Amino acid sequence: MKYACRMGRRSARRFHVTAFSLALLAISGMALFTAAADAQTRPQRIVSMNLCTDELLMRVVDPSRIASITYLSQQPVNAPLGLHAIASRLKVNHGLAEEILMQDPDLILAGRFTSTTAVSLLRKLGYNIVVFDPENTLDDMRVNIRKLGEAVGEPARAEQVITDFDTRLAGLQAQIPTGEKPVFADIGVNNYIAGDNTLYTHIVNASGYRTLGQALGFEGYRNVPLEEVLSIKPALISTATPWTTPPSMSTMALRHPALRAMVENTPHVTIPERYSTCGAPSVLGAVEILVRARKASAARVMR
Amino acid sequence: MKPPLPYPLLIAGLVALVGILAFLSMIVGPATAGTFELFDMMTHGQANTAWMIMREVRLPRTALAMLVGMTLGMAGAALQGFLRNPLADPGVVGVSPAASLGAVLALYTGLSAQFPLALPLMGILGALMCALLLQGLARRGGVLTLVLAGVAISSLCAAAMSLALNLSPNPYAAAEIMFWLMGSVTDRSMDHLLLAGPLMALGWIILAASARSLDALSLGEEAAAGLGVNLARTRTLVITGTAISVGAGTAVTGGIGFIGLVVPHLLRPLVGHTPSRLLLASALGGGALLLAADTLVRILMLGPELKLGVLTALIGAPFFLWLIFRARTELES
Amino acid sequence: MRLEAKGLSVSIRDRSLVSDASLHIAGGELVGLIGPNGAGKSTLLRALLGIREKSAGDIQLDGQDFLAMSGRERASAVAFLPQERRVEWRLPAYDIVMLGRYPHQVGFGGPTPEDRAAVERALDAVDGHSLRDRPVAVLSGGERTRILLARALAVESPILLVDEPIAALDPYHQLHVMEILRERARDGAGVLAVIHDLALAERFMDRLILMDASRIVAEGAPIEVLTAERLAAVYRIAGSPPQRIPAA
Repeated sequence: MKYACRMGRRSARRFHVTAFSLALLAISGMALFTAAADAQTRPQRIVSMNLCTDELLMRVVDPSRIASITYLSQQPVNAPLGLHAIASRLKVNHGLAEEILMQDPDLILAGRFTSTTAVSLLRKLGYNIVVFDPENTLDDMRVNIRKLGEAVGEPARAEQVITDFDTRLAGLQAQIPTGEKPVFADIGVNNYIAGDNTLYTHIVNASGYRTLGQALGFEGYRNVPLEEVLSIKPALISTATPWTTPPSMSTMALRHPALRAMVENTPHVTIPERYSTCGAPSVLGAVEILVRARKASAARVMR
Repeated sequence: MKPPLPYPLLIAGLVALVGILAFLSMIVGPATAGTFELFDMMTHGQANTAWMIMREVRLPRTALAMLVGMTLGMAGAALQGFLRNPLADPGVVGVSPAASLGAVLALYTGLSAQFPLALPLMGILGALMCALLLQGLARRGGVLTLVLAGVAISSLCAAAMSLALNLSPNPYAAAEIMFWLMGSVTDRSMDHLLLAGPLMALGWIILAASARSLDALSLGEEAAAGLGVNLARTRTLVITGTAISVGAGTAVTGGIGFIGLVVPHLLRPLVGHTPSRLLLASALGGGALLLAADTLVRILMLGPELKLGVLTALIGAPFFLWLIFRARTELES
Repeated sequence: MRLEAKGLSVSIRDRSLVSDASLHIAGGELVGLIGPNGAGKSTLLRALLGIREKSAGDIQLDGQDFLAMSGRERASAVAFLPQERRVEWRLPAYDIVMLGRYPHQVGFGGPTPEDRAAVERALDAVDGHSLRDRPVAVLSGGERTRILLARALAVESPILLVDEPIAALDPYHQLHVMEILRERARDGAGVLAVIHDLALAERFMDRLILMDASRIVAEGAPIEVLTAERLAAVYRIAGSPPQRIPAA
């Protein structure tokens, strides 16, 4: 009996060791399996059909998982802030169903208003498509980033992008001098002047200015007649963007004699259109320019 | 003056042309998904995807380009025969603008975002309402009343569409409307084909029924009436046939012009100027022309998509000017 | 075959274009419908055909209600050559004449041998064989009238109504056309022609119907109808009744 007990204790220990190591193996195996499974279920060939989802995708996901972005994102005038290197190495699409089919995507990101026929055809053929609404506010942007993070299986990275953005934004906003917000008039392209409840206005507000549209008291985008522009004396104007180099009807307005005095006597900035097209971290480019202008004008005043 | 070709030979030639162009249309794709890429896919184990592209993307596109081209050609020939005017076009009676307005309203109200097929359905509805209005207005009048009614309806629809663009809530929605209006068959699915196809075929049958009356109408309305032509019935056939076929086509593709104007003009001498024969010839000619244009759109791939309606206008308008220039002495006689 | 109208009236709103007209036309005679401008001759013709709506009266073909017959039956029985000389497309003369067979053609089939024979006969009658392949649009006035007349003849209907067949023609062609019409009547058709030239009317017509201000005011042989008093009253011209014109 004693012998048997002794034997039993040793084998029991061995059993415990074995059981424990087996359990460890099992748990780590399961963890490994889950991680692997996660990696398998996360989309590996993501196609983006929209300029704004292009940017969000490039910020949240590793380039190896991006099957294509729109050709627009490779154009210098449209490149998202700081992502030119990544964008130039990716494959592109032109929003055509055939192209996208050939890229064999397992997830497609699209905007509400882009390529709607291609989107409905792809959806009909059974592809997984997530549609994003255009952003009106910076909160919309955060919602869309989170939504994208969910869809691509990178919720943590999405949060990180948002946090980075908020940090940087807060840093810029801390530099804004106190006082009432002066008016910033973007009359470089006068077809659409942005009023309240637009993305453009939210960006400008976050940078320490009010827009011309807010000063005039309307919502949405509107054509504004010259008299209304002149009735407000803006503290800062923007008259040119890379998109206005071939002259258009809008730039002709700037030659108007009535506007000329105002144009000559007010400080200018140039904000690339791309910084306000999408509700995405690129808006920081616009914020930076405007905050700098605000500081400069405060310095002038103090002198 | 005998036509250069016997009629059956002309028709056979046109059928062959349509066949060749349809084949080309099936094998041509956008630059990154073209013939070679597709062939490559088939031989490298991705045959399923390649066939899916052919079946679900290129086949409906090719079929729609052909059928809509046929519709525009045939309706153009019928209207020119009925109105006895070589400058008539399906747009003259206001059917295309009305169909476009229906589709624009679907876009503007967001209905098409909920149900993608709401867009073509509302386009067809617009065309039918136009047909009803035309019938009502033209009942007591003659050809002039019909044309004026068409012009009035066109103007009204154009104004309404401009209003929709004007009041559009955001630039993206406005751009979507504008681009749809330019006309395209890109990425249309089998659903579109199955919706518009039967209606276009129905319209053709109705138009074909008016064929012989159009011949008699060459002599003028009174002589035709004296020959037993029922003018009211002919008018109903032409208007209804045009409205149903062109309406269904426009509802799916947007505004595509000049096919209905240029094709009958080109083919008329080849059919001996006989209006009834021109119907079939123009149908085939229109199908061929639109297939060719759509194939060209894909070959000429510029950054943003070149819209089919833009291409047909860019080619059609100067070509039409040249036709008029060449034939100006004849038009005066 | 006999086409008869009784009490035919056509009015629009409160204006009367044709008032209570009764007339008949039967096979074998060439009848002239004459009267000053605005008398209602063309309107009467159109009302007879059923292409102008009548407000009163009835029209009978051999005792049957003419307007109740189908378009094809009416067109086969009564052919019409309107004043309109314009042909829209550059169709060759032969094809134009072939259009006269429209009432007899059914469905999508092409011309039958019978159709072709009728077209040949019509071209014979107007001496138009040399014109057959030329587009109507380039023909002269006289040639075009002959071809359009051939088109009406190709219907080979028992009754033929013609609206001002000799307008804008030179004397040679005027006589030629009148001879063709008379020949047609001799062959057994009943031909009614609206005509302005009183001399030709008197010379070629078997019977004249005179209209004035929407009414038929006289009917009968040319000698009886074309009296000096009538000419003065209706045409408001003074002068002697037309004399016999020497044969050309």
